Amino acid sequence: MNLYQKLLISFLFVPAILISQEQNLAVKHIPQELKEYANAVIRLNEQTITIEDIDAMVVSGKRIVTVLNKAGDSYIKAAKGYDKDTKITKLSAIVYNAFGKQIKKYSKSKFEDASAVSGGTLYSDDRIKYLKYTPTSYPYTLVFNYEIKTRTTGFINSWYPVEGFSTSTEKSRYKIENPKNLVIRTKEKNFKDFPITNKSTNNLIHYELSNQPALKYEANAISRREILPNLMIGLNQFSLKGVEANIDTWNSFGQWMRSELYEDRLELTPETITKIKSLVQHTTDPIEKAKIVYNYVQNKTRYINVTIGIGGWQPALASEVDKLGYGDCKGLTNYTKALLDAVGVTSNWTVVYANSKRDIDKNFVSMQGNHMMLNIPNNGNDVWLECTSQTLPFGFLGDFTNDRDVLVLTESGGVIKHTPAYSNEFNEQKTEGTIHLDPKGNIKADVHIKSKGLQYDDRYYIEKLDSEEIDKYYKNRYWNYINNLNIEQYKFLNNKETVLFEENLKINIDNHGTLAGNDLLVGVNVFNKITYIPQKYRNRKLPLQIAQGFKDIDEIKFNLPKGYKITTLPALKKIETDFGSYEMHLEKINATQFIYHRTYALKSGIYPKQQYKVYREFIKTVNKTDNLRVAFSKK
Amino acid sequence: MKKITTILLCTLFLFSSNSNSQEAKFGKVTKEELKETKHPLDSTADAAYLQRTKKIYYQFNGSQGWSLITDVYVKLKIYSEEGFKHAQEKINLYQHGGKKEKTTSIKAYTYLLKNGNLEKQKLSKDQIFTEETSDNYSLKKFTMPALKTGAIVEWKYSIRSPFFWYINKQNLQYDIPINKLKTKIYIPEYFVFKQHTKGYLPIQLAHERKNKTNFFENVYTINSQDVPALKKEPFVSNLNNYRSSIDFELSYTDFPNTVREHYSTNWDDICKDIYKSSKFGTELNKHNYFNDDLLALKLTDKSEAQKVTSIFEFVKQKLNWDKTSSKYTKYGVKKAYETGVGNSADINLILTAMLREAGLLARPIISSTRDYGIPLFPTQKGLNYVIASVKLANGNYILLDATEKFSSPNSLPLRVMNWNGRLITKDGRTLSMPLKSKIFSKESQLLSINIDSNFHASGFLRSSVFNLSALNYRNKNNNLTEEKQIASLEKKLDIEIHNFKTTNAHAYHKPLTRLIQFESDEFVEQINNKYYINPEFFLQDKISPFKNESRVFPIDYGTPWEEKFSIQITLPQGYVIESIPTPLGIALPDNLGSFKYNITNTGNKLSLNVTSKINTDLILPEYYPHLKEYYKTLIAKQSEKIVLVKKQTSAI
Repeated sequence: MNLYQKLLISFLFVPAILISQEQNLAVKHIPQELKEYANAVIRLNEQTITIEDIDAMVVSGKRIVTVLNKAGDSYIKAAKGYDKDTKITKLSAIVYNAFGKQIKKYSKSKFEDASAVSGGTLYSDDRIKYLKYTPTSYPYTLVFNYEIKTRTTGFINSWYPVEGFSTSTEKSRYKIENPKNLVIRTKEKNFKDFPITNKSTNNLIHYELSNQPALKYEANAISRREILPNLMIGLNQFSLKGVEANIDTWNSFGQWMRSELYEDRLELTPETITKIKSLVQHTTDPIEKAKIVYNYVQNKTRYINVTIGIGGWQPALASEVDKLGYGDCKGLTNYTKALLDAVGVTSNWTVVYANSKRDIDKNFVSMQGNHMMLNIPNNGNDVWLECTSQTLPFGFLGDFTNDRDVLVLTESGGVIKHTPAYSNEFNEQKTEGTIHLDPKGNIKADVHIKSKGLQYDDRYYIEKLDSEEIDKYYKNRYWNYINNLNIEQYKFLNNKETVLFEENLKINIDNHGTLAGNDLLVGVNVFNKITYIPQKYRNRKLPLQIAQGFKDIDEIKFNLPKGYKITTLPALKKIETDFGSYEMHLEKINATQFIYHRTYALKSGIYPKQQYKVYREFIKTVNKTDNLRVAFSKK
Repeated sequence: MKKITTILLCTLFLFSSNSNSQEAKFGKVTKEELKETKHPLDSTADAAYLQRTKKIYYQFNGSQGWSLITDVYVKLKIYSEEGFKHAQEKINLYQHGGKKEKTTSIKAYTYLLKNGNLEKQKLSKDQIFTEETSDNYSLKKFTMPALKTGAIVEWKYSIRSPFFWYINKQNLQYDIPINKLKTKIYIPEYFVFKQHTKGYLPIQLAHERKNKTNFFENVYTINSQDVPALKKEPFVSNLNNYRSSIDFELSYTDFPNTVREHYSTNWDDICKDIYKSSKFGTELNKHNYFNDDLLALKLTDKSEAQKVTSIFEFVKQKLNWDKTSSKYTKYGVKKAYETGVGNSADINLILTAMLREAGLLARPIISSTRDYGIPLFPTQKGLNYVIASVKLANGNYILLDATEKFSSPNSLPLRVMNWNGRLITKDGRTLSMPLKSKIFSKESQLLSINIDSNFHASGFLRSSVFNLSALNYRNKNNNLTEEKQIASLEKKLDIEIHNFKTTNAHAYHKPLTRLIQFESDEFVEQINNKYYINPEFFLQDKISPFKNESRVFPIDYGTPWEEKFSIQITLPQGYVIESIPTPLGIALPDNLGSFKYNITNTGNKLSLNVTSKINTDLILPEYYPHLKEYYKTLIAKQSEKIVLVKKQTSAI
C-alpha cells in the first residue's frame, strides 16, 4: 500500500467513525437499566495487551465513559503512569456532550504531568500523565485513547470488568495477544452471576462482559474483591525492569526473588557486625537474640520511601539503611534480616498484602503483594516481625498484616504461610472502676482499662501523645459522648512482653446524673457506650461481614451520694445471637452500692444477607441498653 | 589567681556567646544540647528550632544582572519520634521564561550522642532529590540520616533567584517552638519595598541604613527569642492568618539616571495596575460575545433586582468554575464563555460585564479567599479572587459570585467571606467593601409529634434553611439522590421516614425547605414507674463543641447564625405529666449570643420553642470561658425530660 492509498483510506474511514460514534455516544442510546443507580456508565473499556516478547509489551486501549453526575467524575480515569521502563506512546481524549456532539479535544501535550508520589514517599521516579477536565454539564462522555510500551511484563493488568459500585458497564473487552506463544496462566474469579463470555482462541485470550447494571454499595459488606469478577494473569517467563524470570510455582518464584532481587542486598560493614554481635553476646537463644535485634532496628530506623528504578521491588542495601537510618518496608526488612544473619538467626523475607485484609492467592503464581515483613521460622513456631514500626511489640502484627496468606521466601524457595489471627476473645478490653456520685449528679471516678490483641493495637499509640493531645483524645474521641469530662490524672503502662496496654485514670464528670423531683437519674454505662447504629437497608443485597471480633468486659462499682438509696434495679439483660452476645446486669451490694456488669462480644465472620436485619436489631438493642438510666430516691 | 581565671572565663564566655548570636556558626553543637530531653518552655514539643536564620541580599553581576540570594540556616532539636518529620526539608523553586531559581551549597549534618561521645553524620548528595512538580515549580527535598530521639540536625543552603523583585513571605512562627530566630534582609537603595507584618505575636522589626561604596542599603532585622508553637484549634478558618510573618512588596525601583518606576504603594495604585492589565480591564470591557444572549433574556422592562437575578442565574448556568482562584483571567472571557469553563476572574468579569451592559451599576471586587490569607495592607500579591457587585438605585449593594452553582445574590460562599475586598470603579477609583456577611445563616425546624399509648410516635418535620446554611445544604445534598438523603437522615436521626419532599432545592434565591414524615418507637424511656421523653427528640444537641480547657484563636463561624426549633407534642392518653423542664433564657456577654428555651403545656399537648443565636461571625478567645460555660448550660437544658406517670384509674 502506498502512502496515497493509506491517506485515502484513513480519510474515508475517519469521518465514518466520527459520525457513527457521535450517534452512538448520545446518552439516549444507553439502556435504562444501565442508568439506574449509576453515577457513570462505562460504555466501552477495551484493552489489548500484546506480549511481543519476554521483555516487550504493548498495551493499547480505548475507554469511553458517560458520566451522569458529579459523583461519576472519578470514573473517567484518563490517566497513565510511566517511568524509565514504560513509555506512553499515544494519549488523547475527546469530550462529547449528552447528544454525542464533540465539545473538546485533548492531545498528549494537553495532559497534566506529575510525580506519582504517595504519603511517606520522599522521592519516586514514577510519574503520571492525567487529564484535568472541568465538566460544563452533565451527562457528558469522554473517549480516552492510549498506548503504552513497556519492557516490564511482570505486571499485566488484571481484568476488572466491573469497576466498583454505582457504575454500570455496557461493554468491557479484554484481549491478550501472544504471538511468541509464551506460557500464560489465567484465573477466573467471581465470574458466576456476571454476563461474561470467553471468546479465547489459540494465541489469543479474549473476554467480554456486556450490559452489567450498577451495583449498590452497602456498609458492613464483604470486600468488593470477594464479589466482583476478576481475571488474573501470570506469565511463567517475564521481565521486571530488566531482570528476567522463569517460574511456574510459588517455590520457583520465591527462589527467583531471592536470588535475583534480594540475596546480594545483605552486606553489612564489619563494624556493624561486631556491634550487633556484642549486643547479643550474653545469650544463645535465637528468639532472645531476635528481640535484641528488633529492638535495635526499632530504635535506629524510621520509614521513608525512596523509589528509583527497580527500587519498587528490590530493597536498598542493608549497609545503606545502616548508614542512613531510614528505608522503606523492603529496606528495613532486609536490614533486619541482615542483622539477624550476622547473629546466626535464620529469617525470611515475606511478601504480604498489608492493611485491608487480603490473601496472596496461593493457587495462582504471579507478582502479588504490596508490603514486606520478616518471618523467623523458629522450628515451626513462626515469629513475624513488622520492621517499619518503631513501636510495635516484638512478634505482634496488629490488623495491618494479621490473619492472611503470605509468601515466605525461604532458603528452599517460596512457601505460602498464614499469619496469626487475632480473633474475638483475644481482642479483649477490660474496664474496671469505682464511681462516687454526689447529690448533684457529679461523678468522681477511678478507671482502669486493659486492652489486648487488636484493641491493644487500636490504643497503645496514645502513650506517645503529649498531655494536651491526651486530654483531647479522651474528650473528643474516646469519650466523645461525655460532656463536662475532666481528666485529673492519667498513667499508662505498655507491657510489650505480654502485649497489654493499661490506662489508669482519675476523672470527674459534672452533671452526669440529673435530678428529677425526689429522684436522681443516673446513666449506668458511663465508660463504654456504643454510639453507632448500622445503616438500615430496605432490601439488603450483600452478605454481612464483621471484620474484627472482640470482647469488652466492664465492671464498675457505684457509690450513691449520701441520702440516696437503691429502690429497684432493672432486671438482667441478656442477648445471644450468631454474631455475638451482650449481657448487662446490676449487682446490688447494699442499699448504697452496686456493681454494673457488662459483657459485649462480637464474632468476626461472614453472615448471609438475611441476617443483616437481625444484626442491626441486635446493635440497636445494645445501644438502647447502653443508654439505660436508673432512678435512685432520697431516703 | 583562681578568681581572675573565673572572671576571665566569664568574660570570654560572654563574649563568645555574644558573637554566636551575631552569626550562626555551622557545626557548633554541644553535648548539653544533645542531652536535653524536653523543651524547657513547651514540654509537649516533639521538636524545636534551636535556631533559624535567614539572610536575604542582592548581588549584581554584569552578565546576569541582579540576583536575590537567600541564605538559610536551620538547627533543629528532636525530642520524640513524632518530631522526625520536621527533619525533612522541602525547597520550592520557581522557574519561568527560561529563568530559574537554584539552590547552591546544601550542607547538612545529623548529630547524636553515643556513649557520651558526639557523633555526626553528613547528608550525602545522592540523598537530595529534585522533583518536577509542574511547569513552573520544582521541589528539592531531603530527609536527614540516622535520626534518633535527642538528635540535633543542622542544614544550610542558599537559593539564588533571578526574580529579584519578588521576596517570599517570611514565616516567623512554626508549628514547633523556635528558640532563636533571626531574619536579616539587605536591600540596595534602588529597590524600595513595603513591609507588611502580621500574626498574633508582636514582631520587632529594626531598620538601619548601611553605607556601601557607591550606594546605601536598607537593612531590616528581626530577632526573636522563644517563639511558641502555632497550634490548631477547631473553628479557625485559616491558621496562617494568625501565624507571625513578614511580607515585602516592591513599591518602586529607582536607579540612577533612569525614571523611578512605581509598583503598588496604596490601594488606588494597586487597583489601577490590576485594572490596566490585559487580563482584567481589557477583558471586562469586552461585550460583543454575549450581546445576543443578553438580548434574548429580554430584560429591558424588568426591575433592577429582576435583572440581577436573571443575569446571575444565566451566568451560573452557562459557566463552570475550574476550581482555580485568581484575580486575572485564565482562559480569557471570550474563550471561557464559549467553552463554558473559567476561573474566578473569567466568570465574575463576564458577570460584571453583562450586568453593566444591562444598564446596572456593576463593578468588580478584587479580594482574597480564606485559605489565601487576609489582605490587611495594600498588596497586589495578597489578592487572588474577583467577585461582582451591583449598586442599586437605593444605594444598597448586592454582592455576587457566580462560581458556585447554588449561591444566591448577597449569599457568598464561605471561602469568599474574608475580610474586605476592593471595589474598582470604571475610572479606576477604589473602595473598601466588607465581604463578611452580617446576614444570619438560619435554620428553622418545625416538628410535630404524636405519641400513642403504645409509645409509638409519628409526626412530621419541616426544616427550612436560609442564606449560608442553604448554600451549604444545597452543596451537600443537591447532587444526592432522594434515596441517599433519606438513608443518611434515617441513620442520623434513628427514625423511619415515609415521605420526603424538598422544595426550592434549585430556586437558589429562596430558602430551601424539606418536609419529612416519620415514625419511631424509640422516644420514650421507662425507669421504674416513670416515663421520660426528651421534648427536643432527635433535634437535641448532645455534645458540646467546646470541651477543651482554653483557646488561643478567635472562633470563626463565617457569618452570624440562628437556629430555631418549634415543637408541638401530643402526649399519650392515659398518662399524666409529673414534670416538664423549666424555661430558660441565657446570654453571652456583650450581646454575642443567646439561648432561649420556652415550654408550655395544656392537658396532653406541649409546645416548645427554642432559639439559639450567635450574633457575630467571630468570637474572640477572651470569651472562650463564657462560651464553654454557656454551652455547658444549654447542653444540660436540652437533655432535660418530660416525666409522665400512669393515670390512676379510679375503681368504679
